[in-house]
Amino acid sequence: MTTKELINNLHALQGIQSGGDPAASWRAATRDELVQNAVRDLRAAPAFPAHVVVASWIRATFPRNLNALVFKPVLVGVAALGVLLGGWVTTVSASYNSLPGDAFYGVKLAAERAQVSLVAREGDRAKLRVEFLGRRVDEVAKIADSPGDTDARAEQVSAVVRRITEQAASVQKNLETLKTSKSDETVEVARLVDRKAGEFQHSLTSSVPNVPAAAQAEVKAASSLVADTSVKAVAVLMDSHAQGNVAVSTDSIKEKIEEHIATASAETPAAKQTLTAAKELLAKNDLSGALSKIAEVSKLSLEQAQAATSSPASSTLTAPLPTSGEGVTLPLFGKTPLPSEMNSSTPR
Amino acid sequence: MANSFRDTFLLFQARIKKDPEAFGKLYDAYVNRIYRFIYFKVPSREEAEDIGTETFIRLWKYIQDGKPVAHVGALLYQIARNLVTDFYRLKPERLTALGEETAIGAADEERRSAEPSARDARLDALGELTAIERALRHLKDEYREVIIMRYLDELSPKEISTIIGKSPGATRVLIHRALESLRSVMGERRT
Repeated sequence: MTTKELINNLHALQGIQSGGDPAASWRAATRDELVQNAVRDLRAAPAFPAHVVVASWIRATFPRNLNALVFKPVLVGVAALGVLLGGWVTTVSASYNSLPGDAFYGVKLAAERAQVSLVAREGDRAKLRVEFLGRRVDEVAKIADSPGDTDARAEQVSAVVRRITEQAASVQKNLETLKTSKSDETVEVARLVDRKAGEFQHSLTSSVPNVPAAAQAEVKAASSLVADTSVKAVAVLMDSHAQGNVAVSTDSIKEKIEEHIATASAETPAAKQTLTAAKELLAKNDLSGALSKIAEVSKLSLEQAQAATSSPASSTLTAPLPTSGEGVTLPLFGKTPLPSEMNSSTPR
Repeated sequence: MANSFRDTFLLFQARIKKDPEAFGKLYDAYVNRIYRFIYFKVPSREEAEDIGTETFIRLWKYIQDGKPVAHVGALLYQIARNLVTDFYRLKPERLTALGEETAIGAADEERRSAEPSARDARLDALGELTAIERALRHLKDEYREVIIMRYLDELSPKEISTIIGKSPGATRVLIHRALESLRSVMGERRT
């Protein structure tokens, strides 16, 4: 007989009286006797106080295994989540002031990427990227003001400039996407980018003298790229205005072009000449033409800054920017047609 | 191992709500398996019935004393084991009678009640079962009780381990050895 057959036969013993089932008569009689005995005992026993009854009812209704099966796992899960989230929040907080080369800098960047990936709307993504671009600009200022080994600081600046390039390219892509939606949010984001990019450009330009000489050209190039982003934001505003968005006035566009003419960096003769042309067009109230000239100046400045950088920095400045097909296209605005170069103002 | 929700509720009804019928329902739920457990450990049905009755009387006292009952089934098996131990401690000569008496009478009764057309098959089957029953009575006590609990009462190894006070792993090994021993005894008795 195999073990399986033996087990089957053992199971079969259950079903017959010879397998050990009690006689029905004994079973019934014993039950009666036990219940009668219980009745007598219970009659003689005192009643339980109400709190004992309630406590016993709770124990009977919520047995211990429910506690083990449900409450404990839930509590453990909540505690674990708390520890994880608490640890993550603490780590991210600690990483907030970190700089490239610090242990937590990667955590800081990862937290930023996570934030961007969790946002569903294009406008919100653009706003976050502008905020993170600002953090990178602040990092350049901190490195510039910090003491320490010059080479190490130059490396730190290079690392941050790489991030600035990426963020600026992402913001430009966001602007392109938003431009097609033609919503009020597009105008809001474009204004934010224009305003913030102006601040960032000013901060980067101020940092240039304080950063190690080896990294100065890279910071200048980053400043030009940020300025270029600002010009593209104005172009989006102009496009929105041309399509009849009343939230963008002609005066506000003109004001922004004047600001860009005032702050544009025109160091080469060609750039200076183009900037003069922009001023003349603005004087003639040709806003579109003036903006296209500003864009040319921005492009020339960027090319010059790129040429001045050493190969690692220049490579970082060219890699992630939009392709020519993705460039910001200025609308026909005023009398002067938009130059075709406007589409390729971003560096390659 | 904890009580099922039903057992917990019946214990509450019996002890706190003073409902004797709740104890009757606990009896209904466990009487067969406890009786069977005792039956294979003692020489006769009468003794199994006496010990079975005493087991449930002890359970009732336990409940009335307000002692915590973590698992009704495990407590009943433990009470029954102790009573069987006491049974043999008081009269050791009963051990020699254990292997002699079987349920052949009951098997014969079933054999007689079988329809003529099914008689031959039933005779074979009953013969095989009677052989197993005889062999069970010749096993070591610990082997016999784990086989009864595992294959007749269908308790899990974990439940059995709580009753016999061993680890689940050791209980599985014990069950395996008990089966091998049962097969060996059956082989010896046939030759």
